[in-house]
Amino acid sequence: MAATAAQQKTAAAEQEEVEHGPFPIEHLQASGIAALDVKKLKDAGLHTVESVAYTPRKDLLQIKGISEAKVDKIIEAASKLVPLGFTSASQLHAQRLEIIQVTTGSRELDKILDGGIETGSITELYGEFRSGKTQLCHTLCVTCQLPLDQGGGEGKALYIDAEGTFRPQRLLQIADRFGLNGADVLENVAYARAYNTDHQSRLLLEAASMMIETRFALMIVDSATALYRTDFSGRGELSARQMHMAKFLRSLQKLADEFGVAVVITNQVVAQVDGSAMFAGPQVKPIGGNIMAHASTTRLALRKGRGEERICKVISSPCLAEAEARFQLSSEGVGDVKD
Amino acid sequence: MSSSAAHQKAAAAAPADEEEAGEVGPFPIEQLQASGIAALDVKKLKDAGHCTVESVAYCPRKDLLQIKGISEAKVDKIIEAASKLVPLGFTSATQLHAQRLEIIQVTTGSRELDRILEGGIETGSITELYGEFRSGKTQLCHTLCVTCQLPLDQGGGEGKALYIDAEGTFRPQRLLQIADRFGLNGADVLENVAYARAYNTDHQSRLLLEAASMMVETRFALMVIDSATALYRTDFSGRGELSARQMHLAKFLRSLQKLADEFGVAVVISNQVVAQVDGSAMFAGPQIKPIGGNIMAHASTTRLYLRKGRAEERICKVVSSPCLAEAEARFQISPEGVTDVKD
Repeated sequence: MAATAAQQKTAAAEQEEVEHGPFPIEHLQASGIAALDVKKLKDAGLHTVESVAYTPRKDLLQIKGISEAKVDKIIEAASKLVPLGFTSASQLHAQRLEIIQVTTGSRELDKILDGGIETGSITELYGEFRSGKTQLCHTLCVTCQLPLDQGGGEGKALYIDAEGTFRPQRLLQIADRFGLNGADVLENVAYARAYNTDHQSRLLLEAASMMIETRFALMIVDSATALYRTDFSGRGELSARQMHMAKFLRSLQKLADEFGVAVVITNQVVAQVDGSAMFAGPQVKPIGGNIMAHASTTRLALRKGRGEERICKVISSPCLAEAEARFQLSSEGVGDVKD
Repeated sequence: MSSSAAHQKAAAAAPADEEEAGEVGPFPIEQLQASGIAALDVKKLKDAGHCTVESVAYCPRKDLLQIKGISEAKVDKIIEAASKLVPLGFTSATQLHAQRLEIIQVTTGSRELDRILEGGIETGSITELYGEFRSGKTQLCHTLCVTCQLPLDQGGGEGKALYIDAEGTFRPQRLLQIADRFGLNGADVLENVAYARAYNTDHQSRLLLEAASMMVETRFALMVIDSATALYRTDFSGRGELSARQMHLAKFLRSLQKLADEFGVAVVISNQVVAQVDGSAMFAGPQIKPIGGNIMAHASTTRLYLRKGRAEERICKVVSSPCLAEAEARFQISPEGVTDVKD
C-alpha cells in the first residue's frame, strides 16, 4: 500500500502532480470525519490532510473540542490518504528527478547549485551586511514566477520581512529584465512585515492557509534570525530562544514538505573576536547555533568581492559539492559577472 | 540443553553471521504453529508487531499480556514454545567468541576508517554517528547504503538497506554516484534500499514495526536512521517535557536494539549536537556534545564523533566502544562517497 500510494502522491512540487498535491483538509469529510471537527482542525492551523498526518498525536490532542477517540479516527483517515510507509530508493529517485529548481539569475550560481534553489527544502543564506542576501531574495521573488522552461517555479512568492528591507521597486526593475509585466509580478508576491518572534511564527499559520488556495513556489524569510537576537537577550534566555527558533524552523520544514515550496531564509552573522583574532581577523559565523545549522538543508555563505561582485560558497548540503561561484549585483538583480 | 541449543542456533548472538546460517536465522512467527499455538493466536501476535519467534521470546511477559485476545494461559504457552526454539540460557564464552569471529562487518568505503573500526560497521549492534552540520554523517550513511549490498568478500553485507529519514536529506542520486565506484548497477542499488520519511516521533516509532515485517521477508544488512534525534528536539520542548522525551526516545532505541538482535542488521543512527556555552567557553570555545543525554549514550554500542577537517577531509574518532580503542581516522568526502584521503 505504501508503494502504490507513493506512486500516486509525490511529495515535492511537480507540475503534473498538482492535482495530487497537498490535499485540502476537507478531504477528510469523505473519510467520515464530521464537518465540525474539520473546522476545528482548520482553526488550529491544519489546512491540509498532510499537515494532520505529520502532526504528532499529542499535539492533536491539545485541540479543544476533539476527543481522544476522534483524534485516533482522524489520524487513521489521514494515514490512508498520505503515504507514510516505506518506498524504494528507486521510486524516490524518480520523484526527485522532477523536483523544480528555481534559477537564481546567475548561471554560474545555478551551476554550483545543480540547477537552482531546490523546492521542498530549506536553503539558508548567510553573510555579512551587503553580501547580497536581500538582493538574491528579491531576484528569486521574480524568477520563481517564470515558466518552468525558463528555470522558474511558475508560482507565487511569499515574503516575510523582519528587517524592513523589502523594496517593491527592485522587483519592478528585475521584472523588466525577464520580460515580465511589472504589475503582475508585484501582484504575485504576498508580503508581510514581522514585528516580533511570536508574530513571525503566527505569520506561518496564515501562510499555510494562503498556500492551500493558490500555488506558491517560493517562501522567503528575511531574516529568520534578526528578531531573535533582540527578543531574547543573554545567556539566561538562550535556551528559550533556541526552543522558539527550533519550533519556527520545524514549521517552515513542514510547509516545505506539505506544499513543496522553496523556503529561503537569510541569517545574520556574528564575529568571533577571541582566539583566532591574532591570525586572520575575526571569524564570521552564522548565528542560531546548532538548531539553525541542522534545520537548513542547504547552507550558502555569501561574501563581498570587488565592486559589485559577490561570492557564494556551498557550505553544507546533502548532495552538492563545496564549490564557489561568483555573481554580480546590478540594477537587474543577481546576474553573472560581466567580464 | 543450553549448549546444544546454542550450538544449533548460531543466530541468537550474531544472526547475520554466515550465509549458511541463513536458514537458522530469525524464525518467522508461523513456526510457533508447529509447537501447538493456534493460527489465530499467531495472527494476533503478528498484528501486534511480533514477526519472529525471537521477538516473542525477547518480549517481557507483561507486554504480551497486553495483546488483545490472548489469555494468560495462552501467553504462558506461547512463551514456553518460543523459549524452546530460541536459546535463552548460558553458553560458554568460547562458543560466543567463535560466533563473534564470524560477525559481518560492513566496510565504510575508507580503509583507514575501517581499520580503527576493526573491519567496518558491526552488524547486530547500534552504531551512533554524531557531529556538527557538514561533518559527514549523512554522506557516510549514503555510502553504507551501497557498501552493505556488496558481496561479503568485498567487505559488504550482501543485504538490502533500510533508510529512515527524519531530516529530508536523502539523495538517491548520491547512491547512483557511489554505486558507479563499486561497479554495481545503479538501478539495482536503488531498488534494494527501502526508504521512508519520518514526520514526527510517533511516526518514527511506527516505521520500526513496518521495518520488522519487511525484514522477515528479505534479508537486510543495514538500517539507517538519519537522524534519530532531530524530531525529538522539536516534538518535545523544554524541561517540562524532558522526561516524556527521554522515555519515548528510550523505547525507540530499545526497539532498534531488538531489531538488531532479531535480524542481525547493522543499525546506524546519526545524532545532532548541542553546544555547551557556559563554563569552558573561556578556554576553547563551546564544547560540542551529542544530544539525547544518558539514554542515547547507553543505548548505542559504538559512538563515533565526526568533525570537519580541511576542505573535504573529515576526521572520525571512536568515542565509546566495548572493544575498540579510542583512535582517530581521517577520511575524505568525494562524489564517490566516503573514501581515503588522497594525498
